[in-house]
Amino acid sequence: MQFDQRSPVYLQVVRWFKEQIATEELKCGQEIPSRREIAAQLGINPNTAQKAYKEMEDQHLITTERNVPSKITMDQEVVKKVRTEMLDEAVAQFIEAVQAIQIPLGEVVTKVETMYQSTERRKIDA
Amino acid sequence: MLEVHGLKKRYGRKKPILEGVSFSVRPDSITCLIGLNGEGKSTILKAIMGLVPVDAGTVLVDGEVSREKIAFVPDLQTMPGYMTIGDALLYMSDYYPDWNPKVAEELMGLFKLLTTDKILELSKGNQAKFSLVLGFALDRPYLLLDEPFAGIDLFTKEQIAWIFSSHYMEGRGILMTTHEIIEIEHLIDRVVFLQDGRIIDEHDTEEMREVYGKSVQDRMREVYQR
Amino acid sequence: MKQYLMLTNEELKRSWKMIVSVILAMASIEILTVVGRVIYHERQIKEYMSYSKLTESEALRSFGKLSFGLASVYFGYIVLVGIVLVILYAVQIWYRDWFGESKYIYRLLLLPGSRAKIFFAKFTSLALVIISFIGLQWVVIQLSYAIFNWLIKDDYRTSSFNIPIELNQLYTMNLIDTLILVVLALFIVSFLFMLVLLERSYRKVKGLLFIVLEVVAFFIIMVGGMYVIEKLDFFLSQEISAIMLAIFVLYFVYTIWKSLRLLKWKISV
Repeated sequence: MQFDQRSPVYLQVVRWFKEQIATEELKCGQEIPSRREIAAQLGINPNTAQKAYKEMEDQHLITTERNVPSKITMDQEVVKKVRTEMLDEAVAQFIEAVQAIQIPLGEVVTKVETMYQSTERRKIDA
Repeated sequence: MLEVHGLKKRYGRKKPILEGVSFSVRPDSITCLIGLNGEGKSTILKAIMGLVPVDAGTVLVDGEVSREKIAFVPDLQTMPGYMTIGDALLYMSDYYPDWNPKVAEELMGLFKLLTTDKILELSKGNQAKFSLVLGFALDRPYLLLDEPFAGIDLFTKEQIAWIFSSHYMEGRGILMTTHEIIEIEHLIDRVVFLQDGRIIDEHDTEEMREVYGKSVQDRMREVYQR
Repeated sequence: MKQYLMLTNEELKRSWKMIVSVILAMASIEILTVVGRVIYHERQIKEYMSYSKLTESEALRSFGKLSFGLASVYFGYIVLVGIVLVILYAVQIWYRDWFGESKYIYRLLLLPGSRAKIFFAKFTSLALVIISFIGLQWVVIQLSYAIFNWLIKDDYRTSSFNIPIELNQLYTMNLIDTLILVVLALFIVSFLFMLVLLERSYRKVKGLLFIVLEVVAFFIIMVGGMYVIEKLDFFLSQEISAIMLAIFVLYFVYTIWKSLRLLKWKISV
């Protein structure tokens, strides 16, 4: 995993988990690696892993009970919220980029549709 | 907590290299002592270990004066020239009651080092790895590393960096010196900047990113290029 | 104690090749000089005979027979070389830890426990080398005497066993004398150790200054002490020896104490 050195590493780790929750690579109730394991896997400081897990607990993304590995939340609402949140974030970024080059909305929407479909098709072909 | 209070050191009649250096290293964390070359980073580590006498200052480990709670990995070889890795490991277990042969063996395997190799004939990267084995296999709560990444190729760097994210870090406070931070930034809890014999800045790295949106590298530039 | 013994072993392990080769070289040179002297003497007699047209016994009578003392006349110089080498070893045993292939001094100073064991391990190495040097020199004398007797024609040599005057001091066949000799040698080693540690602690100008001070102090204490005692004309000769011995012992203890303090507080890698 590559890190952006200008934003907190623990938030980048949280985001990495959110992406996997949104795409359901990590399913509801699935066990996730321990803090130690994730630190070694991502090559980060164990303290940072701890902080990321704490943050995810606060956001109810994972649940941790004593002496059991942490699990992804069973709460579908939270998962849904993660999806919306990530979509909002991505679209917001996109709009910012598009507005910077002053393209009207109509043109953008058409372009988005055609390009989205053609990339999907290419994915299926591959 | 490893506490360094008011270290002062002057070599001969030159300008003092340390003019009252104070900082601390928390247990279970990685603190990085940053400074340009010749700023006295190594001198600080050596002073902590009692390898150079200081003109003033104290070093406390968990409240007491006790060097035997600190392991030190200098950036040069300290075993007699004739020794193989095996000889050196035997030497360590002979002299150090807190030597942990299990950790040594695991790390030897991990780094793919052979006991039959002569230490001084190893590549620079393997010498660095071997030095780390000697440091990590001592069961001590604090570990000082002098430029653990200096002059080492990228892949070896990654292998070495891994250890700092592994379970071998458990129960260890680490202080390492470095003059180039870029590849290991995300590993570090705290940075301490040294300039002209003084600590001029200190930060928790995550806080620096979160509050100021700056990388350690950014801060280094601000500190040393003004 | 265990660590001290291990360190001593380590020190000897690091130098035994050097020590053994020096001792072997010196022993063979000594024996060769005896052989050379015998051959040279025989040739001289022969030349003298043909030159002066004398019989062998006449030639021997007027030219002289060869004594072992004369045959081993070079031993003194070789022993002198040995002493110089021991002095160099006393210096090298420290400096190699700073300037050798690796910086072993880091490891030594970081070993758990007191640093005194480092000093005593090196000191013991020197003591062992000196004692074996004295012992082996004695063996070489006996050996070369046997070779001398075996090599030379009986009527070419004087029958008495004597050794060169220079070595007479060394081998008086008196245990006390030998002991004094060893203690004196160890004192010199301890003094040298102190000088080396002063340099390694203070370096450069300051180090040199302290070395000069110590050397001057030594001469003042020894020579001055002796001078004052003689001048006072107050003590009996036996008392004088006792006082000199006491001063010597105190100074010896001082050099060791000073070295240990430097090693503990002042030494620098």
